[in-house]
Formats: sequence, structure tokens, C-alpha cells
Amino acid sequence: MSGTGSIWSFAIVHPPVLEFYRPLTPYNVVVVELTEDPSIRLVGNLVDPPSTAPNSVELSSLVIGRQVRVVFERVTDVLTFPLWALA
Amino acid sequence: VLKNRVAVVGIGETRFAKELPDTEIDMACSAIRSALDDAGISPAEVDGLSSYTLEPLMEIEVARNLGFREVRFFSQVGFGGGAGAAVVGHAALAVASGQARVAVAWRSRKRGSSANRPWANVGETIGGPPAWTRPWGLLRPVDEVAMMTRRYMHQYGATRDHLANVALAARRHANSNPRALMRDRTLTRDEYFAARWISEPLCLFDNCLESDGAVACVIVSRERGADCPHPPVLVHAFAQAISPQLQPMTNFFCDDPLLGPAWTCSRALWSEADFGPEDVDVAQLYDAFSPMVLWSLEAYGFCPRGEGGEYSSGGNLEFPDGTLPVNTSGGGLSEVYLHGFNLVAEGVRQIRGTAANQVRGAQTCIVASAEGVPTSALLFCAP
Repeated sequence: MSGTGSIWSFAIVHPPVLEFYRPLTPYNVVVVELTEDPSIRLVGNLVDPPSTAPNSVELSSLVIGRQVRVVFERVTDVLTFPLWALA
Repeated sequence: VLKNRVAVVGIGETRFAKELPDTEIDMACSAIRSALDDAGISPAEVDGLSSYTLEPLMEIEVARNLGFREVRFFSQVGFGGGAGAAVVGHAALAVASGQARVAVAWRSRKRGSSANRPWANVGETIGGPPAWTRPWGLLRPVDEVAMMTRRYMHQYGATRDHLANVALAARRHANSNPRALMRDRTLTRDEYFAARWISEPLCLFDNCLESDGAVACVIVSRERGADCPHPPVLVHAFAQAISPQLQPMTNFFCDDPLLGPAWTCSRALWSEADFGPEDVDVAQLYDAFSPMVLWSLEAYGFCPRGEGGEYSSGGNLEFPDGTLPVNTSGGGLSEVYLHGFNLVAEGVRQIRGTAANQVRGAQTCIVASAEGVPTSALLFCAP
């Protein structure tokens, strides 16, 4: 797997949301289809490394079909999240 | 099995409000009692119960408090907004098969208070399908529907103007329905576009109300229905459906996410019917979110796939001049949100000829539950 894909769709979340997510609003959530097999889709966030916050990208970067690449965010010792950056 | 052999002969409602002091059981009993009075049938005759799984233990409470005698059939249907038509359909099947003679179906719901919303519950960890969506902040039903809506708009060229068509039609219907929560609150297209976002591309007015209330109906055989005070509203067809690979609300992972369970349900429904979509006089289509109405219009064959937005234009969904008046009581967007069970009552009123926005000479009505979850649909017709 190349770790690349394209944006299949996205939503931009506004309040009211759970307290933990509130400071991040408005933030994006994307569904990415993988380059090797577009029928495999993953939910994630488009981020702007080195920040991995889901509100770290310009909203105008969110376009269906845009190429993205995976980045990994280590959350705890046992939990790592796949996120997406512009390719 | 069902075709016109069973009828809805009573409907009952509580009042509707953003928040009511009554408990769910109080409201359920009140709505069922008034539905039985409407049907001219004593509670002692009720032997079939049908309700939503989201009301645990309610059926026992209902039976005891209303003085039902020997209950011989009881069923609960899951998946919230997908259940409405099926709650009626299961009762109808029980009556058609002889398992029950007088069945009541209902939904009682308290959601006006934000503490009562399922997503108010949080935990440190999650498992199952939500583990593939929640950690990235796809939290609420509106976020899940927003994701699907954005894709739908991209794929077919639907616009926010099309979503507004649905919201404005519902509001106009509510404005002339004295029982609707939004009866006194008008809505213009400018106000729609000025509203705050909830989850882009969905704004405040693309979302249903959060409200309290209960609706019930009574189902008997057509023969028995002939003795009731109101003309019987016949259950012409009923269908339920889970589509291939379905993941409720987050159906992003199957071959064609925009072909949800409503498409499967539609095939089953029309295969049971003696008429087609072109013969339907009025439609009640589940509308927790405005785009679901466009998807249901396509799935149930009122327009070709991808053309729901265009079909909604020019006031086409509005009473009295639209080709297909939709959600004529104001629906979940503007009358009351009871997981779509108010749509059942409105379907019955339209066939009786007693609706606030009565479609002249309505002989047929579709009631379709939520697209995107395991769903169900009914066709009602006049005797």
C-alpha cells in the first residue's frame, strides 16, 4: 500500500458537540478512498503537519477528489490514529 | 398477504411541545387511549402491541395501565427512524395472520431535553462500528448525514437550494397545521441561507426538531374496520429492508453508499402493490434531515436516481399545487419529531380526508421511514 488516497467526502463540524471536541470547532472529518482500491474507505481528518489538529487546515483545502497521504498520530502507547495530509 | 385486508381505524396524539412534563409512559397511554376512542374500541379488546425498541419495558406498562386483557402478540422494531412504518406493518401482519384481532402501535418520545439524547452518553472507550468513525470527531447523526450529503451533492449536482426546498415545504405545511410546533414560525429562503451551520453542508433548518409527544394508531381487519366510526384506511402494502453490507448511518464502506436500504425497501414495497409511484397522491417521507427526503424520493421511484433535488424545485413538494405534496403536516422538520410516527398519523388523516393540508381526493399515500438505517415503508389507500 502506498498510503495515498483521495477525499471521497467531508463534513465540517460546528457546535453543539461534546466538550472535548468543542475547542476544535469548526473542524473537518473526511472519508478517504485508497489509491490501490477505492472501494476501501476510511474516516479520518485532513491535517496540516506538523499539527495534527483537525482544524489545522484551511477549509478551502477540502475538495472531493483531492489527493492525500496518510500520517500517523501516536495517541497513547497502544493507540495510533491514521490521519491525512495533502499529498 | 396484507393487500387491503387490514386497516388503520384509529389515531391518537398527545399535544406536541419542545418539552412536556409527562413521562413517556403517560404520553404513550394517553395517545393509545385517544386512538382507541377514535376507533370506538374498548381497551379490553386490545390483544396486539407494536412499538419501538427505544422504549424498553413500555409494552408491559402500557398493557397494565390501560387495562388490556390477554395480549397475544407484541413486537418491537429497532433502528429508531427506520422503524416507524414497520411498527404499523408488524401489527398489520399480526392482524392479517389472525395472531391478533385489535393491535395498537405507538411511539412516545421525550427528546426535547438535551440530556435525553442518546449521544449525550459518553465513555472512555468505544467498540464496534463507531470505533471507525467517532475518534475522528464524526459524533452526531447530523455529522454522519452531512458526510453522505456532501458526496450526494458532488455526485449529482444537488445544491443547498434543493435542501432548502424540503425545509421550506415542511415549514409552509406546519404554518397551516394548528398542531405543529412551528405553526407560528415562518421561514424564508433568505433565513434558511443565513442560518448557522450544524455540520456543513447542513444548517440548522436541515435538522428536525427535538420535541416531546406521542402518537398511536389502532389496526384491525378490514371487516372489523367497517363498523368503526371513521372510514378504514387500508394497508395496501408493507416492506422492511436491510441493504447489502449496510452500516447504519455511516454507510460509507459498501460498494455504492448512496444506494441505501430505502432502495431495497422500495423494490419489496412496489412488488406487493397494485399501483406505482405515479399513482401516489401524497407522501410522508422520513425527514430527520432534509436530504433524506430527496433520497427517499429517488429510492421510492418518484424521480430517477440523482434527480431528487431537481424534482423538489418549483414548489413541487408543497401543498396544494405541487405534483407530490410531501410531509403535509410539517413532518419531523416542522411539526414534531417522534421518530417519524407523526408521519403515520398524517398518512391516515390524508386518506380519511381530515388533514389540515388536505390533498383533494387523496386515495393513496406512502409512508416511508428513514433512509440510511434498516428501514420500512407502507402504502395506505382508501377503501
